[in-house]
Amino acid sequence: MRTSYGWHLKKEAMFGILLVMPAFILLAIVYIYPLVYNIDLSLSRWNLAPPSPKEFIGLKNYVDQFSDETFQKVLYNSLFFTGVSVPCEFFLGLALALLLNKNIKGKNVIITILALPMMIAPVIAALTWRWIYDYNFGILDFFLNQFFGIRPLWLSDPNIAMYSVIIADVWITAPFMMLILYAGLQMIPTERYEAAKVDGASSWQMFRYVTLPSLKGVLIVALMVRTNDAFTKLFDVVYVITGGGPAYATEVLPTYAYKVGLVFFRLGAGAAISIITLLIAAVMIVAILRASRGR
Amino acid sequence: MIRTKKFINETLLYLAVGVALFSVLFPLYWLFSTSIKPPSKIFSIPPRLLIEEFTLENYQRLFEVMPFLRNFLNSAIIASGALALGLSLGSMAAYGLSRYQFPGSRYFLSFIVISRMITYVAFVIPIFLLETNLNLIDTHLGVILAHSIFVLPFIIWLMKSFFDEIPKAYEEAALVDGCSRFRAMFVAMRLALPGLGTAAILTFLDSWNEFMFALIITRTDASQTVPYALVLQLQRPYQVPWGVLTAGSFLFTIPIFAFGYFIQKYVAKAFVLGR
Amino acid sequence: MVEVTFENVSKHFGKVIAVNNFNLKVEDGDFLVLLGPSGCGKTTALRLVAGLETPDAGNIYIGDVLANYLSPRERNVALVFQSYALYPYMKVFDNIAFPLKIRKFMNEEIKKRVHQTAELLEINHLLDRKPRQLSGGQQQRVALARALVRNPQLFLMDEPLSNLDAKLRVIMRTELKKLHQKLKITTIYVTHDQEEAMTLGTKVAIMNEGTLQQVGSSAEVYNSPANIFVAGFIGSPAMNMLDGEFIEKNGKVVGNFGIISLPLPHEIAEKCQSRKLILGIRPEHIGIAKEKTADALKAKVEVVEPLGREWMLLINVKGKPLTVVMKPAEFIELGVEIYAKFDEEKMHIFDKASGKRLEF
Repeated sequence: MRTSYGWHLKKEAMFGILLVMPAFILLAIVYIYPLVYNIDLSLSRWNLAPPSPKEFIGLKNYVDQFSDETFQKVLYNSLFFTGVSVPCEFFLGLALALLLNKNIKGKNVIITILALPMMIAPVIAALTWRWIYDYNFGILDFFLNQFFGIRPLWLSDPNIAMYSVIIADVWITAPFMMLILYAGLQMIPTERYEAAKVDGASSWQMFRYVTLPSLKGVLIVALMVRTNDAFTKLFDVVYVITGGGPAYATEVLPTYAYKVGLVFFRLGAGAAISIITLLIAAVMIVAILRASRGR
Repeated sequence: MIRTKKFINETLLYLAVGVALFSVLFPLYWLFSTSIKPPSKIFSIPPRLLIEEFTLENYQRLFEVMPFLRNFLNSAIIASGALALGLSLGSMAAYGLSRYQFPGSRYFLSFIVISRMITYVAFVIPIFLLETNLNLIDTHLGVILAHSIFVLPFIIWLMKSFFDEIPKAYEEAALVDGCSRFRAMFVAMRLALPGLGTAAILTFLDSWNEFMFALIITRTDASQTVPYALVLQLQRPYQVPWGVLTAGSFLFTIPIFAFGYFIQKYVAKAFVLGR
Repeated sequence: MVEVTFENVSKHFGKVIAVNNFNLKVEDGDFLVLLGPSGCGKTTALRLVAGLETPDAGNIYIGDVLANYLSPRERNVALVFQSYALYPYMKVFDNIAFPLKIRKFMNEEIKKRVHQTAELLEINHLLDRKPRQLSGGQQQRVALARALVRNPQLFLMDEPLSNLDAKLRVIMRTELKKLHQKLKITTIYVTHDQEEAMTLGTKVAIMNEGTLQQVGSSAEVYNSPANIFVAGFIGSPAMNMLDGEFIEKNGKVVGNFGIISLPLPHEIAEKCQSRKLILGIRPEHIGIAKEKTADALKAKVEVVEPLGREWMLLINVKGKPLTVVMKPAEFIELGVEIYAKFDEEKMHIFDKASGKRLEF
């Protein structure tokens, strides 16, 4: 009796396992195995141009990268980019979400339009901006020259190029922030504002004591996700607008890892760069989480 | 006094919204208008803001200068393939995770949730090596499998939360009515159709717009997608053919505008949850 | 038509014990009502019979077949859910036809049976509609039709009337009773409403905290409740309970309940775990009179609730509140002094420690 009962329970679990198995196998092949292999690569030296055999070198790749000037510049770029673009997205997204939270005619249409930048391919958005930034024929250059007499070299001035990238990326991602925060705002029950109103709160106070605290959860999650994405997933925009130049002025960790690994074919070094990116991002996320708990 | 204050506030509000709309729409307008300008007008100094004459020659040249049709087809095949693979395996797995407990289910679920946080750059080199060995370079399947890296976890995550919301009573009724567990699952799938639709649209878009893995895996027009093909045009030695590029970009974006309607209707909520 | 037997059945969910060593026999053709407060385990017991849960210990027999490991499909039972669980994307006809379609019946046969069952439940005119277009009562009938269409050997219902409004509930109760009398299918019906249980069931099984408290006809559980829980749960308004204890004096045993004392037989000492007792008397068994008679207690009327054909009173006897139900009487007014007498034959004595009713 006991054995057949145990078998029956297994039958239930077996069905569940059966359902999950195909997806699990696929993920094991395209996700887990490559990831583990990447870690192995990062601990090896293996170049393909000129070809050399794969050999284990421990953490040498990591040490080499951190002492490499180019890598340091790239790391700085990624941090700079993240540190500037994420707050920009947030403020813009929050501002728009708050604006939309009021009674506006045609709100649905407006939201759909404002959501467009994140729906088009990042490559195409980047192409559009690159065309706008063009020195000779770009509309931005013309506009600034006409009205302000300045002609910044958006794409070829090392001091400005990163801002070009940031502007384009914020254009793409601010709508995403806006949607998330807007949804968060919608979830705040009106009674909370009404109670604050009765208590005599001003608009600013209502924002500070009702809106912000109610949004806290959403904000933290969005912050973690966007920080991670900005630091570790910026690829298409940089590749298309500046290619990482001029002279690594806009090179970021993801594009650099790709360049080192699959253009210069230093596979071990490339893998190490990607893992370093991963680890630093993890530290940042944990830091954000800790900071949010502290409050 | 209050009236004027209110009026000023409202004006500022609409002004701000207007600025936002302009910031979004102008680049898109610029993209489109460039695509229908004759090259002489595109490369004119000063650049023409308004469309004075329009022409379709950019669109014609598009098909001469690059195998655009082939690229478009490749993008469609790959996105559809990623979608089909992801939905079939993913929704089944999601159902299993939602309705059944088994050893390892909690780990698998945690893995799914965390997986989106791991940078895709970490997969680029190994996937390249793996697919080279398996002769999947420059094939549709190769790109589809690479896309599964982000498609599959997303679908599983989204559909599981959908299934969690559907009361088990329907499946139990089906079981009591005489369905096998498998058949009962299809009852749940039918009820989860809005979720599947949402997942389908978002997945298709993500795969359609993807660039990095296409860059790594594709080599020729046998499998090159439009985003990659367009970027290749940037690397020509002479003047970048912006007319052609914008034309190609616009054509590539049309399906997205079509989806936009559906997204607005069904997906807006899920979109926010999904990312 | 079949019997159902629970033999020492237990089921727990994590740390919570839902059903505890449950023993019950449902005879062929019975309409058994599983009655109890929320969380008492009645729904779990039902789901165990349906095959939606598996027992952790004990056996469930449907007929003389051991059903523990049978899938719901193999048990040929029908279940009507509290939420009806009608497939929202199918028409009513298809909803009812579904169990037959699964079993690969011929279309002709399906059509015939669906129409027959729809006829029985008077929903023939609704067959083309979708569930969301139906009222609560209509949806309920569709759920019943879906259950009946395949001539199940066992009919299970999980609080099917709780989503209906009060008036409709009463009507549907009668319908269900007529249906059962006509079809004579063994039925197990779960509810927390004791009024429903009393009117519907040929047998009532009362559960609390996973354990069976008492099983019997409605009359039995009403007039001879097995313990304090059953006595307090059955009957509305609830039975009056008075704390007390017994003492022995001069060879006689007397039960002292504060406002009243009774002589009790000697055997009580053996049957009781301690001296503490509870006296129970139902509100309708307290007689009210204007003038004093022998053994009557002086009382003051504190609340009067006129309910039409009867009145409910809250009276105060020496500081103890008691609920009384009686026919309307002119002399009853707020604050008035009256005399209350307990009907001796209808009093119950319970052993407070074990909760059991003491029989003499």
